[in-house]
Amino acid sequence: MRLTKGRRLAQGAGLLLGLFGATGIGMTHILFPGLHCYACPWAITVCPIGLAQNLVIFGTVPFFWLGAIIAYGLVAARGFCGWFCPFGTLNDLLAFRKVRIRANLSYGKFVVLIATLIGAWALTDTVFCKLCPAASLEASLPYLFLGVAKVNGPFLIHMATLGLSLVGMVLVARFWCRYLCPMGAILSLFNRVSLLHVQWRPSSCTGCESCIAACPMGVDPRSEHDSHNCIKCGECVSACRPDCLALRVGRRRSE
Amino acid sequence: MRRAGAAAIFLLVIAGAAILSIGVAAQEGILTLRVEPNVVEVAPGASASGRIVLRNESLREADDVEFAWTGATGIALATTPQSVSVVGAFASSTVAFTLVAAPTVAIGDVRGSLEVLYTYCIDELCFQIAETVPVDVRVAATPQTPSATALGETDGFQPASPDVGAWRWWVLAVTVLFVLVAAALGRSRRIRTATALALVVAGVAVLVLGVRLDQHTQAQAVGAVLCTSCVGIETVEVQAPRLSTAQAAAVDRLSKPVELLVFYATWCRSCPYAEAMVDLVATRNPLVSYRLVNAETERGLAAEHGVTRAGRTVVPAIVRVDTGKVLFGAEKLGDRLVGLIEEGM
Repeated sequence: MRLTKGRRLAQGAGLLLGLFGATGIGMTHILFPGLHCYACPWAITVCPIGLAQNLVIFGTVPFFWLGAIIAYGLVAARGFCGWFCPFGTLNDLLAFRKVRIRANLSYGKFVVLIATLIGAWALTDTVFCKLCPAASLEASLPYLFLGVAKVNGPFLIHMATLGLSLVGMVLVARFWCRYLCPMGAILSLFNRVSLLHVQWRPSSCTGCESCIAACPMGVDPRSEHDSHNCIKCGECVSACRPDCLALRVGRRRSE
Repeated sequence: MRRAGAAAIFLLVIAGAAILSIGVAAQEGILTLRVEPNVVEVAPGASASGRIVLRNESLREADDVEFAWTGATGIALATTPQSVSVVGAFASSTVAFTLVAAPTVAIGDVRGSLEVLYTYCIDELCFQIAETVPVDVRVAATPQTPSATALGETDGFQPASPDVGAWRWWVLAVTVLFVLVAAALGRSRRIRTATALALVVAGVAVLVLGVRLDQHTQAQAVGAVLCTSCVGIETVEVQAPRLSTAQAAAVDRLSKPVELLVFYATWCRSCPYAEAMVDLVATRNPLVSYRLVNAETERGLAAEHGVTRAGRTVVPAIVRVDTGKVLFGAEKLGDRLVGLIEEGM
């Protein structure tokens, strides 16, 4: 229970950082460790996916971007999806059906990532941003009310992607995070080496599988807690009665 | 332990290669260069004309383009071609040159080259680019002088320089390879710590390098200015702006001076359209004057004129100075711009 409360607090902090511009502070140099649109009127951080596309278009070398991504990856990797990302939090709020993940489809997020970068290069345009449901929610809608956006073709495309994503989230818990999120794809590459990690002690496991039922990503936390689909949210840890699962920070011990 | 050390060294080598390739690649040019005609024919002791077409297919502008001739003994430039101050984003420019053959030059084919020197900047970071375009010269007793029409043909465009976009693949490939190798090595518990340590070193190195290159400022600049077409608030206008008969008549009817400010960002794709539309109106009626304002560098001015919405500077934005009214974006701009300038006339 403490873990769940802590996670809600951290998710609240993620939302706070995402919307901190409401205080009047302008854009900073910080890359957001999640999917959060920098075009959001209240954003003070830069979206790594949006910036990556711009860097590809500009032909800029991605030193700063890469350094920040590696730093986030080493600290928590996809833990940011489970604990910090505001769009992940929205996924969480709609996580009613914790069905098992379709492993093959979960590679879709890597396809989206690669298509995003290739699209930016080939079309010299931020194609993903025009489809991104986070941008729909965090930029298109606010700018409509601020008098900058209009109900036009691009706006309706945004609403369609947002609508489809929301339907997906309701039908399948963490639908966006499981199958489509390019930021999740990037962070997942660091899942095995991050400081934040889930540990499983098989010696005390009774095989009750309550951890599987609790996992919003639909993975088996016993065998897949280091896979690209684990968001280190700790739901399995809270559900595990024999305490054979633990969320740890630091060097990994042998299981 | 030896495996761990080898893995760490491997990762560091890949990181180094990534940095090196990225650094080298960053200094690739942005202009595609082509010489017309394909072969310049010239008689000994005579001169012949050619031209070089500069095509900029990037979002950046190329500045201070200068030319020099090298190679091909007995062939020289009559005069140094006039330098080009700016080749704008997605724009082209053509520069004529005249080659002179010495009276003693031998009949036959020779190859010289034009050296093209220019700069382009990504925010505060500027690169000086030197590219060489081969020029084939045929020294013939009775050369066939190319006609003006032939020189003007643009079909069958064949880039004379290597594909300037190819390096981006290298950047992506090497960067992705590095992280993928790290991710794969993380599978083995024995070398996981070494992998993490190698990533720490690589991460700190590229982060520091990025900050030293001022890339954090670039990241901030991208985030601080909202380009309406970039996040799908409107579509990108790529066609040349035109005024309808009614719009042109409305512009002609203006009776008082109107001063406009056009806020843009260098990387905004809709901004050139907005700038061109305002220029079209200002050219049609001299009572309309305008000034281009870089929203990235003049944020104070942007805030002062209401171009900032909830802390975000929005481009393209056109401000009428006397009324303070602002137009955002480039969609259906003709009607909106005419409406803005004819108000109160």
